[in-house]
Amino acid sequence: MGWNSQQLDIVSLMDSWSVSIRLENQEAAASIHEELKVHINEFRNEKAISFYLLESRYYTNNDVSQSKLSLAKAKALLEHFNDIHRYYLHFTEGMTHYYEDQYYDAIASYEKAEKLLHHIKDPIEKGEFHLRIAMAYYNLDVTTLSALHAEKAIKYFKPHKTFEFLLARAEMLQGLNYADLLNYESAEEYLHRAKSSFKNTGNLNFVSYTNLNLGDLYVKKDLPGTAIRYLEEALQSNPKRGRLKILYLLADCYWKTNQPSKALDFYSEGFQASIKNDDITKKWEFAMLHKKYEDRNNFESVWQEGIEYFQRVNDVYNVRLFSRELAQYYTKRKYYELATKYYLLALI
Amino acid sequence: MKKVIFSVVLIGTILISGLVGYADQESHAGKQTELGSAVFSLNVLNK
Repeated sequence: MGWNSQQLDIVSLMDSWSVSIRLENQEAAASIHEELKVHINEFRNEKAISFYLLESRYYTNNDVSQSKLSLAKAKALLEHFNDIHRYYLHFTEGMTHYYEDQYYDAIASYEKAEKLLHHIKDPIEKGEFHLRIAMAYYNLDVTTLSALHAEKAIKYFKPHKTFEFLLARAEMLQGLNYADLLNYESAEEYLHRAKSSFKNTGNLNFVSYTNLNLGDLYVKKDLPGTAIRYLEEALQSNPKRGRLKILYLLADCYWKTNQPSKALDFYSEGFQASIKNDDITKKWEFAMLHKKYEDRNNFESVWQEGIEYFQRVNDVYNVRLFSRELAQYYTKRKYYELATKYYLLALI
Repeated sequence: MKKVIFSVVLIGTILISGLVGYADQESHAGKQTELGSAVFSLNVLNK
């Protein structure tokens, strides 16, 4: 094979790799990665940069440390970067921060990428930028900015039927933003539309994530019976992510619907799994849930201790969530000093 | 007029988010929802 035809093959392989990653086709992505690695020493600077940036993105799903390593290899060629490479460098750095739950760092990187976004002409890529930054804002509870960027992402994706999967992701996120804004009707509409699109595109993990999100929505709407239906469906497909969240919500819903034996089964599985995974936040969440329904004698002490833990690790969302409920508990019992303390924490 | 009101709301939103950002620099959330894994396209190859 001549040099030119080999180059064309590499370009075509890299394109296929990019598509496989975009469509979350892990098997194909892994196989192309193996094929490309054989040629890495033949790549000139630009191809090598593209390869490492793409490889970093490829690892983001499974192994953040590998992802960072690939970014470092790309950065070693910094003097050969063009503006588009620089855009992807910041964008990918943002994603690695995102998957380490460092959402402010992620936004700082995305903001650097945003300054170079005008070099990117493809509307789908622009849409993806807005989707990613909207996801980071969502996790930080900055709902207005998340909704603003999700709306931009939807506008970019909507005219392109081929990218229904990405449109569905943006719509799922917008549904969650509406839920945070207590507009449950719109939230429901967006989430059901996203679920139907994920079914069409065959992204079963995302069907499961949407079921989890619908379950969470119905918990917020105080409809635990309906939530159970979606959460059980989410669990059945054994999703890649979010299993502990599903178990937590299911335990909560079964306790709320007076089915303690099922609740205890889900609680036990979730609590043990959080210990096994060394997920201390989830361990506290499960422990606090158990004290709320089964072990009322230790409810106050464990919840106080749990909230202190969430404060220590700056888990603002959980501090607010559990403090609000504990404050309501103390208000009912007329312990106003303690109620005030936890209402104040709920406001941080 | 509508444009002016929208701009004021937008600037207000951005300023508020900036303040929140400085106040909670290291904080993160633990929501029960799931957004899925990473997705983006990387068309750097033909540039």
